[in-house]
Amino acid sequence: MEALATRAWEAVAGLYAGLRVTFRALVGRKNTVMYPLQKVNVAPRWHGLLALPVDPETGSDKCIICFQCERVCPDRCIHIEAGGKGKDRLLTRFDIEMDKCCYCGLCVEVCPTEAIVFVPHYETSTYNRANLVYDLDDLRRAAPKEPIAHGVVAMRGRP
Amino acid sequence: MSWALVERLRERFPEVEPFPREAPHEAGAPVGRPGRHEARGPTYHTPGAFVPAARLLEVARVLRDEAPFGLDYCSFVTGVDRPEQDLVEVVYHLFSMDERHELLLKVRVPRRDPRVPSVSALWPAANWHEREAYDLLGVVFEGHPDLRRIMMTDDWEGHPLRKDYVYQEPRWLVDLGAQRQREIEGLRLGDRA
Amino acid sequence: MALRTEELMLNMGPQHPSTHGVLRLVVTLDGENIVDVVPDIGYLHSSVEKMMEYRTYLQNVALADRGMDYLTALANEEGYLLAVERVGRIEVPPRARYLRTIMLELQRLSSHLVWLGTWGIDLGATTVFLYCFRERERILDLFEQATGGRLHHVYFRPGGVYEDLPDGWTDRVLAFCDEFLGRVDEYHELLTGNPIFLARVQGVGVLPRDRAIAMGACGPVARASGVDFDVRKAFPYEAYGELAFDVPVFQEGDCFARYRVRMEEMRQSVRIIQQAIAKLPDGEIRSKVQVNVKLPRGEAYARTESPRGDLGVYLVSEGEDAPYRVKIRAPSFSNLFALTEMMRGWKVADVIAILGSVDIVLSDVDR
Ligand code: SF4
Ligand code: SF4
Repeated sequence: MEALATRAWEAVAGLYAGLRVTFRALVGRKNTVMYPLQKVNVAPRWHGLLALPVDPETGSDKCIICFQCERVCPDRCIHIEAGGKGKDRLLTRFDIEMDKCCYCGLCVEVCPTEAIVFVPHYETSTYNRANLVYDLDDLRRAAPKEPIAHGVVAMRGRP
Repeated sequence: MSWALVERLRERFPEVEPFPREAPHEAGAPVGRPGRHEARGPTYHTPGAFVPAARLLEVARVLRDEAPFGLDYCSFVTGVDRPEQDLVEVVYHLFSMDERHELLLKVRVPRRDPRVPSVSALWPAANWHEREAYDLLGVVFEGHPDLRRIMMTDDWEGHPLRKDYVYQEPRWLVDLGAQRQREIEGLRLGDRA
Repeated sequence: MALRTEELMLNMGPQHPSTHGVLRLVVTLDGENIVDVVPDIGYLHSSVEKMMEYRTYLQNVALADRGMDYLTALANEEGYLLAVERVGRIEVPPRARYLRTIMLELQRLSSHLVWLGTWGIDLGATTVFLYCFRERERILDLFEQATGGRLHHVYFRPGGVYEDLPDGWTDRVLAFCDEFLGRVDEYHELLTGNPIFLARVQGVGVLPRDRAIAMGACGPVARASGVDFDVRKAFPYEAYGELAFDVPVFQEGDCFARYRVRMEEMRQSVRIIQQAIAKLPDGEIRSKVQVNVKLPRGEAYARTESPRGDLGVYLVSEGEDAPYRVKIRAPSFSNLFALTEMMRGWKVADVIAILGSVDIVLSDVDR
């Protein structure tokens, strides 16, 4: 009988200790974000979407067509082609297959002119795999090709 | 201190051949450049020895049970395929939990028919590691209680970590992939973009 | 009249949520008692060792990060790079060593939090999961600020780390550490005092010391069985030799001991982080190593203490810009083998408690 009473007391005490923690969390600071309606901010170093942003001074990107990023990429997902000679050398193709990219950032690291950078986007999912191949225009635009989450927000946010 | 252990092992078993000792590193040698190192043999940073396959069990038993060795822990068993020498090196890493010393054992076996006695009776931990080496490199461990493939499926062909291994997609997988692709295209998912 | 009984073979997994991934356990039961357990693995095998033979040393950092244990990306990088640096005799500047230490310990915290949370769910304590993930989220935010990645960082490089810390990062880490110690006490309050939890884990799944060594158990599992071995203490790497911390060791070898080892390890990790930040030296963060570095011929076995145990990388270089052979000695692989030993003789209801207490990650088991 004695032992049963002790065990019952222990069970109640354990339950009480647990509920105290729960209660503290209940009245404490909120930790969640209503995601598609509210966006979270990402850190400046965020490995998000790759881009070749346009330099406002020259009106073009800073790529000097050195092929270093293509060579260092572990997934071999960057494809560069260039035409012309010397000063007239021109990028004819700069494709990144974002479905293969593992966001390792090695291409950003080796680029001598900081032409290729990460931009803080994280909603790059799409309905079609073909939309994950980013060509030169997409990369210069530095934005996801198919902003799906907007659709979600519009629907959920309707009053 | 573990190199001293290798010496003790050699005293005990003269046919054991210690790894060539690490040449002291010349100060100022460029980092990560082969060049001068190339002519030399490989540098062994972890102490160990080559053991003939026929003596392996005997050596292993002494290493586990007798002072000063007392290597009671088997970290891993694996293999290195060396087609140009027509060899497979079976590598054992042993460690002593009490003395804190370690030892690598290497057994060289012919590539065509690699067979070594299993040490899983001495170190039960070697059981799965030997299965893995069998699966990925095709080394046969004689006397192993349960030598089956562990990583690949039971009907897999070839041993993937061999240097000359070529992956070929089985016919059924190719057909299935094509079928899936046709189904997905039928859904016309991308048109929404 | 004697009842006719026979043994029952029960398949758990590979799609069982409590097996923490795609693990299949073939359990032989005699009534409720476990007669034998045969884990069947390989569903997640990704052939990292083979892929590493075709990539340069730098590219392999990204691969080690992703291809192995997905909860401890930095610990994987560390294991791989330690072997590379040993073979290539690459120096790591002091500041980089401290940065790595801080990151590794944060990684340990985040990994143990996932373990505690998921184990809590296994045992029916769902709230613990939410609390653990709340704290883990803050660690991931800290990682994100410093490395740019939340789970996969690719932050370490041969001979150092990629970037220096952002401004004010260490203060945020210290603030988190202070708060976190209180949180660990909170978890203790939730679990250790709970009689239901105790009844499910205390004395369950005992692994004696000699069996733990023979079966190759490592890390917290071995330390809960009385094996006083921690690579950070026995073979100090990075800055661990210069920092004071204790290695918790318990003799009981049951699930509760494994729980206590990890809880204590979290406290010690906080201690290491605080010391490392206080001692953080200035200076270089990366020694000069070419992008496609070629290592001299040689081979080395480097061992590190990943959150799951003794993570070793055996690297053979033949003077090329890619490794000739990499063998990853995964801690989960060895611990999972010891599982059979722990489970024999217990009830089928204990399978989940024991499996969770071992803390396996299937991508680490299969590689
Ligand atoms: S982030 Fe890594 S995987 Fe992606 S494109 Fe750059 S180098 Fe390739
Ligand atoms: S590394 Fe930079 S400059 Fe060179 S090709 Fe790539 S993006 Fe252009």
